[in-house]
Amino acid sequence: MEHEKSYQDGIPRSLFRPVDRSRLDTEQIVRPSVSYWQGVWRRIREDRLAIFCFLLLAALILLAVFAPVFSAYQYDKTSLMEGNLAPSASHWFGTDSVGRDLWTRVWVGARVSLAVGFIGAILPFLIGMFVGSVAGWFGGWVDMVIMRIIDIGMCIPSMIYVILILVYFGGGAKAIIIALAVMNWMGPARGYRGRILQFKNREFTLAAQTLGAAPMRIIYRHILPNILGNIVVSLTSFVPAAIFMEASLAFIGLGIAPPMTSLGQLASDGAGMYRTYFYQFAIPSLVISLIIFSFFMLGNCMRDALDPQLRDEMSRSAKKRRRKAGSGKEMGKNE
Amino acid sequence: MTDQKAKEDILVVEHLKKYFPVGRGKLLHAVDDVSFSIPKGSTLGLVGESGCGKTTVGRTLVRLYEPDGGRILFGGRDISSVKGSDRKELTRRMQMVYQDPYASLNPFFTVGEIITEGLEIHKIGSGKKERMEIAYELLEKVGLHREHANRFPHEFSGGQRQRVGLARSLAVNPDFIVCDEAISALDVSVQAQIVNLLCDFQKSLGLTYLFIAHDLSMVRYISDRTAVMYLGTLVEIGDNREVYGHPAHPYTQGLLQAVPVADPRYERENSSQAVMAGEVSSPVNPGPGCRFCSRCPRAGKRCQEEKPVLRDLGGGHLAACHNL
Amino acid sequence: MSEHLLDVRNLQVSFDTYAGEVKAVRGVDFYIDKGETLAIVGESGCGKSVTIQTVMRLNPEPPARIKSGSIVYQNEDLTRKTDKEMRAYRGRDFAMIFQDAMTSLNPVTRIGRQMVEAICTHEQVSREEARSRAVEMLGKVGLSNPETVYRRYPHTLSGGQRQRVMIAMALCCHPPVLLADEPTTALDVTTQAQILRLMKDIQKETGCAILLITHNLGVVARMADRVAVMYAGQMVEKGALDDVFYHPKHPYTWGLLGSMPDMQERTDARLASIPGSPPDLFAPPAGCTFAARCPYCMEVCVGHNPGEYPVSKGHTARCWLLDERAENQVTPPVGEDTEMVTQQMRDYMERGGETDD
Repeated sequence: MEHEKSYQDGIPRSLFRPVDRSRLDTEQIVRPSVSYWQGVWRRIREDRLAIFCFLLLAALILLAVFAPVFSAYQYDKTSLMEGNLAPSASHWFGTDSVGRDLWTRVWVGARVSLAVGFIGAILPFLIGMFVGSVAGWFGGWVDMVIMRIIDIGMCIPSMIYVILILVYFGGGAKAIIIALAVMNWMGPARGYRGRILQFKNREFTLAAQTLGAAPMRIIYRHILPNILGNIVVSLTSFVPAAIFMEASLAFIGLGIAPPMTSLGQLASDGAGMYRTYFYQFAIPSLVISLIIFSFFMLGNCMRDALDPQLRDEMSRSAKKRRRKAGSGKEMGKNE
Repeated sequence: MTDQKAKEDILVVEHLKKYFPVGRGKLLHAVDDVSFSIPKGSTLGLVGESGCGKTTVGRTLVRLYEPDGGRILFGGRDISSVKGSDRKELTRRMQMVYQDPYASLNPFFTVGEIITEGLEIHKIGSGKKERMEIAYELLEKVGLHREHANRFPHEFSGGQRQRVGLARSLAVNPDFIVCDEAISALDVSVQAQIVNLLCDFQKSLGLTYLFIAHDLSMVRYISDRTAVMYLGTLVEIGDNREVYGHPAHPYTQGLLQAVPVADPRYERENSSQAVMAGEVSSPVNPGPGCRFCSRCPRAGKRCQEEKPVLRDLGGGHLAACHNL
Repeated sequence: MSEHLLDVRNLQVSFDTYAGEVKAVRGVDFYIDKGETLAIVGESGCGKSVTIQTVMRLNPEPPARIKSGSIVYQNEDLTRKTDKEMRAYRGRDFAMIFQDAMTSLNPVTRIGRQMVEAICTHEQVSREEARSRAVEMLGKVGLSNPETVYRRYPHTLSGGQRQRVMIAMALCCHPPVLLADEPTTALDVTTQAQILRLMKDIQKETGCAILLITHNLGVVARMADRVAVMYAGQMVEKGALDDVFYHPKHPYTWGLLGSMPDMQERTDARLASIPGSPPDLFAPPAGCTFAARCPYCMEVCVGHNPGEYPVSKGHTARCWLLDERAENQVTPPVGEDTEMVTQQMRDYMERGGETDD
């Protein structure tokens, strides 16, 4: 016989009986399920600099693709009467020495530069990845032979490759891309081999081997996703490097043949006249610089976003906002 | 205790050797002439401290490493040098559960994908749907929920991940599982969960285990026989009652004394016992004598020159020491 | 005025992450006196490391945040100190030994130099004297050839040797409080026995207080004078060593003790394991955090967090079962899975009724 005494905490005696166990879930996971790439995307979204660079790059690419289509002028139509005109309402970027509209030419050139840049960066990467993974995974004499080839190859000055290839293939975008591929596959091969070695002894790799997976499956399904982040970041610096290299080739006369042009070619053409018609040099150079700048900054931001250790951390800007909001309330804070 | 001689040995290891070159002609004797056998359906515990080679033994058995000497007989067949599709079939029958629950699951795969990978590789199940069904079943068997199959490893606790790892190994219906420190990285109460699961599966599926660990009390609980290794050699092996009750080798004795017991009265009574001095010496180019003699309280002249062999002390209890 | 060497009251520490606030420590009280060893036992994620790191204010703030509570040492509340002021305490009054010596010793500096720097930061002694003190300390912790070790780099030593070096460095300035965060977890069994013996010897000699964090109940039994059991950010049971081991009152403690196979007896019974996993501290449940896993869970446990109930002098437990309203309400749980658990827990409850001999 119990009468309900009232207790200080207000909890009645009736609650002190065994609970209905079906109400309890012992294996609950409360956090929302977030995959790695979702986390990456979220971190990038919060980074203002990353968004800015992304938009800038998108704008440049859109202009390269669409501006020549909507332009009133053709990129290769000469008009000697209108040569060397400064930027005006009818010619937004002015004209070059033979009267071709520079606005159209700049964006056509940007198409070529970007294409050369992307393909010229991705192609050596693919080659390097394949070679590097074979070397890293199989080890032994295969690794040794490949590494020695790379060692020797990297010692030879790249200009020699370029010149030999351009002489053999004649000029043109295709030849330049092949030259870039031959020049640049060795760095990624080494890097990728190192990453494979790093992951070769991780327990999930060993587990896949124990399950009977073939080496190719392990490399491409298990290891590659772990390295993809680094690859993306490397690519963001490879692409501008390829664009820049193409521009350098243009400056030494090994660029794209006219009337097709590239940004580097335009800059090279304009370089001779920078004292008199400065805009012909400045504008293509500025566009190249913007492209390279946005790639580099984007790469920087992506490096942080892709780091899985930071999965639960806030981005810098969000941290700053939180700190400002909360600084009045904590104890023991620095004065 | 059932008569284990009546059960056939599913695994027999004879004079297993594994060396690693460490540059300049030096050889690390990770596993140096180790022999043991495991009857079907039982568990052999393998204990020892760092550098003793127990992990190398486990990995050599599942052929992550190739043995440098000796034979491994599985189900009566010599598998030491098997290749090709035979080897793939072998991977189905011999599986391994790894130590680190945080590194043994690929962070990019969902749990369902991790479990069904083995099924895909060995073409078990006639399609994605059926394989996922098998995965759901396994998840429930190890105490998780079906819904967990779409989640990523980082969302689980250590114990839950280890259960996923166990489900992954069980997916291919193995006969023999090497548990390589499978519970060492887990909390105490979680260890008990996993050990209970292992015991249940052993009873229901007739599995055989090689349980590698350094926690002696857990090894004693889960295994029927225990082997003690030191610097690549087997120093003592036998039924648990013998090895833990009447340890013959000075290293085993020292090891058992060093283990702290969760009983304050016991600890107080034994607090004045001598602690084994010294540290494990290097397994690189070891000398000709007994590996333990630098730390052994009974070491004599013979110990430094001649390596002792395993001697039968009766009832399947063997120890390798000159001074028994 | 506190009569204890270190007195922590109602400490609450949270971490601000993207997902929200993770309440790592939710109201922890403990104290430690000169010459005694307090062991904080708990599983990973329970907040024990965060607790002792907060004593030394080692967690970067943000993302860590001391929400409330006090850490009183020599009549000063350490939670109110700035980082600069804390530097004076670290090394001189508190020294910490970590689990992994390799990551807490500077790999590119010789050991001797690291020790001398530590000494000279806190005491006004000449480098010569600091050097001789360092060498003496290295010898005291059981390293043969302390002179040689003095000149070496950390990666050339073995795990056990590095741990001894870390202990030597911690003791350089004779701190009255030694914080040890899982000091032997990464070591071999025999090395662990040596290090534990060393710590006990040093405590006898210097009278320092040791705050020991571990998840190994055997280490606790060997080293501790008092024990605090931590779960999900709270201390669920505290008391003297024998009280907690032989008369435990919290179901989690029963579970911990019951899940360890007894080295002394060979048993074929199933291990008592605690079903489920610890809760995510991002969203701790209202009520007792152990409720979902507790075979004795009552209705009140799900909705209300229990307070600390006294069991005997110095022994408290945070469980509704100890409330007077819970008398005769404890009935066996249903389901075959928990049968063994019940049996083990019953054993402990029964032992709890015995008087100590």
